[in-house]
Amino acid sequence: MKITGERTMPAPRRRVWDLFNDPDRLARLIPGCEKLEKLAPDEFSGTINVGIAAVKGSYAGKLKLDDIRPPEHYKMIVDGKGKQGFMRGTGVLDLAPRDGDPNQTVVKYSGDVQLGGPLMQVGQRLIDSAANMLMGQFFSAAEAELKAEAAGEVARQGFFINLWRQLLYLIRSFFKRAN
Amino acid sequence: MAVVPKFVGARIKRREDPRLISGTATYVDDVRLPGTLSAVVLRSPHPHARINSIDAAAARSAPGVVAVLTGEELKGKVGGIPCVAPAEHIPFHPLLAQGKVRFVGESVAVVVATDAYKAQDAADLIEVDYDPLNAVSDPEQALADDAPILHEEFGNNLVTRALIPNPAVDEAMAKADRVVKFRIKNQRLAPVPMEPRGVLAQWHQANGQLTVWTSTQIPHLLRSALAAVLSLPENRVRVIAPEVGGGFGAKLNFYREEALIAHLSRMLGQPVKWIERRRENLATTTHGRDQITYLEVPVKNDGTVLAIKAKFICDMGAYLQLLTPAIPGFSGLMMTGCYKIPAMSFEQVMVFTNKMATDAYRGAGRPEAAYIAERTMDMVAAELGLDPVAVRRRNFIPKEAFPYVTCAGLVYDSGDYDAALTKALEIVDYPKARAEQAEALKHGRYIGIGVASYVEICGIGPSVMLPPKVPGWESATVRMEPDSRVTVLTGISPHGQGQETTFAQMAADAFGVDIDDVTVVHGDTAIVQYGVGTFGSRGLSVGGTALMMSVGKLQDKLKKIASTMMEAPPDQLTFTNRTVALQSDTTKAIPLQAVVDAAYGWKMPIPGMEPGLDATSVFEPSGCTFPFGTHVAVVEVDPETGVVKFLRYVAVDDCGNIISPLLVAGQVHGGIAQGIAQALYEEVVYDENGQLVTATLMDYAAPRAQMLPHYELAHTVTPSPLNPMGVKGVGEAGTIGSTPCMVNAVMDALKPLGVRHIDMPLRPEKLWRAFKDAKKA
Repeated sequence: MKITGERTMPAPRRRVWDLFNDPDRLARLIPGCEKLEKLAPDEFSGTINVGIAAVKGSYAGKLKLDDIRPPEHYKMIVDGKGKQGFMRGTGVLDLAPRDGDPNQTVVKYSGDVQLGGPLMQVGQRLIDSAANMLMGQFFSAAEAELKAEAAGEVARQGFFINLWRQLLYLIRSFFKRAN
Repeated sequence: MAVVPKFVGARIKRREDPRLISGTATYVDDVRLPGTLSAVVLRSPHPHARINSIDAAAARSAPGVVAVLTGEELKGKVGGIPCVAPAEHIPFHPLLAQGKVRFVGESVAVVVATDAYKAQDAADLIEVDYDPLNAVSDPEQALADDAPILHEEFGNNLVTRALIPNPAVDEAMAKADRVVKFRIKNQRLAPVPMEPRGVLAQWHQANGQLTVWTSTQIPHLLRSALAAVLSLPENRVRVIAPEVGGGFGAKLNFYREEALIAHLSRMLGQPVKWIERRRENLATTTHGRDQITYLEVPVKNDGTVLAIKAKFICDMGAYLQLLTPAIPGFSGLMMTGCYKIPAMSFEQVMVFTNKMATDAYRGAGRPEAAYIAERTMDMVAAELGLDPVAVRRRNFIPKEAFPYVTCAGLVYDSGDYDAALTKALEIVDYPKARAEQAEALKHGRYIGIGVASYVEICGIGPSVMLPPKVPGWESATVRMEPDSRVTVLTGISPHGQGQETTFAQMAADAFGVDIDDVTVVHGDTAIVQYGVGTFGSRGLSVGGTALMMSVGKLQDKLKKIASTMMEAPPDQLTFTNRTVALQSDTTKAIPLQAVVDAAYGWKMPIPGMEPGLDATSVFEPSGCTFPFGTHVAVVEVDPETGVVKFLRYVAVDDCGNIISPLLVAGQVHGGIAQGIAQALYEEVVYDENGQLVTATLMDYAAPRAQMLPHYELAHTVTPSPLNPMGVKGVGEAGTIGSTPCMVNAVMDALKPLGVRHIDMPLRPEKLWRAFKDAKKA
């Protein structure tokens, strides 16, 4: 499965970079994330709970960062497994200031993920859209987090609120495109 | 005056059906033994990986768990799964993976618990540490230098290479006006029987005997294989195939779970049951087809085909099942179809890939052959601008030429191919259909007419046609019981074909009794004499001939006894209305029961004659039968959606004499359904990493009733000279004729777009793209 996309974050690049490297805050932003720990500067371990179609389950795994160039680029190597299957893959994240607006950051992501087990066999028809939705939720959560941070507040985070944020984002994007 | 048969040839409803449609049949899962444990198999999520370690400690101590076994623990205790077909490389095929897994779904461990739910919960606790390896799922890439190797001991992924060269083919190429070249694919299919596999094993400690209930087509062959793998004497193993809910060739096999569950029962001293789930069925029951063929066909401008040259790439999967590498041979040998093509040559490259093994599936090699022959005829017609019907007629083997020896050395027993074609074209009104097609095109409607004339191999067969340990003969025992009821014990193992009906029809007529006076027994090795099984459309032609041989022996004995009682020569007697009567005057008769009483020794009139009425026979056919026919389909393809709409479907099949017309119709219906499914819907898909994508019936497109046309059936009758009934076989015919017929019809509809060939399945998306691309061009 290939995932690509981009999303603009309402903060300067450095702050986005810091957020994306802070396991405690990331744990709140990643949908279904139950645990995220930093084992080494470039290595995390964690547990995430995902349900796709009838295949719900928790997956434990490791995330290794490579090719780190703060504050603009890193590569992730993911290796996780659970009762319902496994996921393995690599992803690349690129952060760049938005043209003419250093207070906004364009985040480009691309990944290539392999899935196996029931997760793949039962859920595969839905995996692409599920992955996009989860990515979207993550970025909506990050957006709220960065906005709150700028205002000196703490953003509320949670699965449903981020689902709602993502929905609002999609509606906004739709009207932007329509215009 | 001969007695008119009462049941043979009559439209008798299947005697099996009341129990099947009322839910009172007994399948493996319906057999309940006290104290039965349940087994769940842990399967690999990886297509290719090294197993570093398996930690089953948590599973072993989980509630209700009785045993957990891994591949390492089976080493030295049981053998592997046999492949009896010859091949250059036959890997060891363990019951549970050892060291490596090689396809998604491969069994890695088994958990036995007091119920299936506890077993599954415990299986979830097993930690397997895998080292994933690169996988190969494309058979054409399997032999590349950098392809991952499945079985390291062979150094590459070659199973075997078969080469049938023929210099006459090269001469034909030189003489040809044109050489038509194309590549076609028979995609991988899943047989999807309604009842998945299932095994129940019971070890009798007291006398060292094993009883195994399993959903199989071959109980006796399975008994031999099980005894060998478990190192048990064959007379201590009993295999019972109870009701079997469809096999289609997928149960003409010996599976890991059959040996594993038997081993577990012996190990634990308790009955153990395993029932396959649908997802397991799609991933770990043998698949069918999966052949790519490159064809070169030299032709004359008048449509005469001078030769066929083919290269096959055959995907065998990760391990070899019972007959895996034997199946493609049928495709090569039969690819000249019903045509007097003077020369052929082929090369077959069979390869290992990280997928489930392929093996027999309804037609087993012959659907692929018919697809090659019939697509060839249409490709030649398209290339030369000729009518596909005319090309077929130009190349048909004429009816005077039978028995006909093909360029592959097969002996076609009898045939009249033009008769079946002519009849099918009459029913569909071919000239009118062509005129309507042309008219519709003017209005932007894309109608296609597809013709396929097939011939196939049935009544398999002489033992020399088959690999060792799978003989081609069949057995039958016929008993007349003391109350003059008839018991037939057949070595075939019907699982939907309906021989409880056909064999009863035949025996009832032979003895002049009612069909309800006949009981047909099968599928239990402790009751039935050694037999071979049901596959290759052989039940009636081989098993039925064995039956008639035994019937004949009993008739002779009964007539001999009756002749002393009636003072008439035995050869002037016949059986009718529960009497033995004079052929010339059936009112001169004595009750059959009186003769039976005599035979059982109560009033034996012939001194020294062996009492009783029991005869066993084995029939080894001298050759295969070759049924044939022509299917014609008229379809319309919607350019906006790519959906194929059925307008007509006509099938004219010639299976020789017909014993049971309703059963023949049923076989043809089911066969056409599976054949159209290959043409339009079904495909087992593994992604490029070797993950199975079509793992549920949401994703694997087995057809529903509304996805199939109304069938118009007709027959021609060309009896086979190879058996006394003159029958040929019909179990696979529908599948073989319908796939090329449907593809030819859809391609004919797309002809105005300039499209010659699209690989199956012809899903709406592919056809919609063809229209879209044509519009662009």
